[in-house]
Amino acid sequence: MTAQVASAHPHVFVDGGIDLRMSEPNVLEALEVTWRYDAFETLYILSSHGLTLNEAGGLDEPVRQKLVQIRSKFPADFDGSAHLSVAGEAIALDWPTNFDAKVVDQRLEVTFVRRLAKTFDVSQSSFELAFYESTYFFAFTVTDAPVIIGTSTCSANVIPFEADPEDAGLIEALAKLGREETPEIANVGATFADRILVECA
Amino acid sequence: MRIAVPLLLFLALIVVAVVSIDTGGFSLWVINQQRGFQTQMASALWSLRTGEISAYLALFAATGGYGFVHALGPGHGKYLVGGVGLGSSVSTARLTGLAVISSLLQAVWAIVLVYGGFAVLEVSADRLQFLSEDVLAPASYVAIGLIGLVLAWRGFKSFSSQRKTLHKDGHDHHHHDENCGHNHGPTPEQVANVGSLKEALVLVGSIAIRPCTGAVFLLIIAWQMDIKVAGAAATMVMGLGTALLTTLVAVSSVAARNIAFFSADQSGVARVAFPAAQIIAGALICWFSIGLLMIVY
Repeated sequence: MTAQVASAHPHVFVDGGIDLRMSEPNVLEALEVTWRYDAFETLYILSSHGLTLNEAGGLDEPVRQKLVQIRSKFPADFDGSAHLSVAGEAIALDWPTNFDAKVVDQRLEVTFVRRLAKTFDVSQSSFELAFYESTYFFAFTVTDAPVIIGTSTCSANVIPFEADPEDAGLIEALAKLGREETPEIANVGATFADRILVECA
Repeated sequence: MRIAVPLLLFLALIVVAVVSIDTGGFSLWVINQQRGFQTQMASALWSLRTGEISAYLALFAATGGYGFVHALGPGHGKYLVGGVGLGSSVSTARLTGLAVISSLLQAVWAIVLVYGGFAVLEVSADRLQFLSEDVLAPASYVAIGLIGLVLAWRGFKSFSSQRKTLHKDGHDHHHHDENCGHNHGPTPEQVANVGSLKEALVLVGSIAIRPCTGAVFLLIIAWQMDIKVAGAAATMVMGLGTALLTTLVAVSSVAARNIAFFSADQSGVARVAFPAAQIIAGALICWFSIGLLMIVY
């Protein structure tokens, strides 16, 4: 038995969402992900790369391009934040592409695409998209209504995370939330995840 | 003094209740508060960057609040201060002083680390984060674990010396003559109470060596935005916010210990209560620090 200590209170708060792109009717091809960092993290990200906002609180184009160049290199342990599953089975996604960045209301917004490793016929099925980062250092919230791009018979509904004081898993996770340390619970972020439920006729 | 005892008891009960009875709502409230303070910090930093001097007040309010709220979760400094409060005979005043000094030195060290790193060593923000998370954090955990070992060792020694004394006397100390002429085991006044400068420095240093992540972030932003004085001042205010919380832990832990001793005295087991408390507190501190080290490696 190890000491029951500490994972991290989130230090970074990210709003955003996941859109679904169909290549043909009811064939899911890719997920389009949006992250909008909190204002403090936005300043930190820029500062850590030696960049600053302009006087108007936006990004000058050379700065923006440099930021895109730097941030589009995802770390090896990047878990994607968009977790697609069907009946609890994870669906494999390719590495992020089409990365872009801009600043809106002093918050850094980045977008990227996760193509499915294999396209998925969603007809007559339901599946789930969970929006989280496994260590919960980053706390993700779905704030953008999901958009289905292309033709489909699907509807997507956001199911926000709601704390259940009787949920033993949640209580255990919260008990281990420290202020500095990285998590001991594997995939603790999933416990606090907002989810998008997609149902297709 | 008559008012102080129930007040301390009340504070201790609050801390115990929050730590052990929390069903999730409190932790989630803390997370939401932290997000709010971070947003306020960013807004104030940006205002200062654009020349609004009045934003100092907003920045200090946000960083002070952040320091307090961020410290509400279980962290290395509080475990150590709480453990020492329970397992030594340190006075409330002394432990409170050490807790405040630790928090403020932690803030000073963050300033030295970030500003010194940028100005003198010309290191990158990533290197500073690496130094903080991968070098200084483990060093802090090792130091804290060693303090736990020392505390537990003192408890064992205390037990051992009492057994020898009991053997020589050949009678039960609970029914002794007050003038029988020897030391009847440790009392709060007699036991080492973090009294030496060396012990105080080790305790303060083990907490302060690991800077707060939020402070490091704040200072990196302030350096890059060229509002260095504001960043340093705000970091000190953040340290004061943290100090307020660790002070509560210090007061509560000493109150809890005093209550335990009072009960032990009433039931006639005071002689073993103190070394037992030392061993338990030392073991818990060691356990906690080993857990932290296992996370890092």
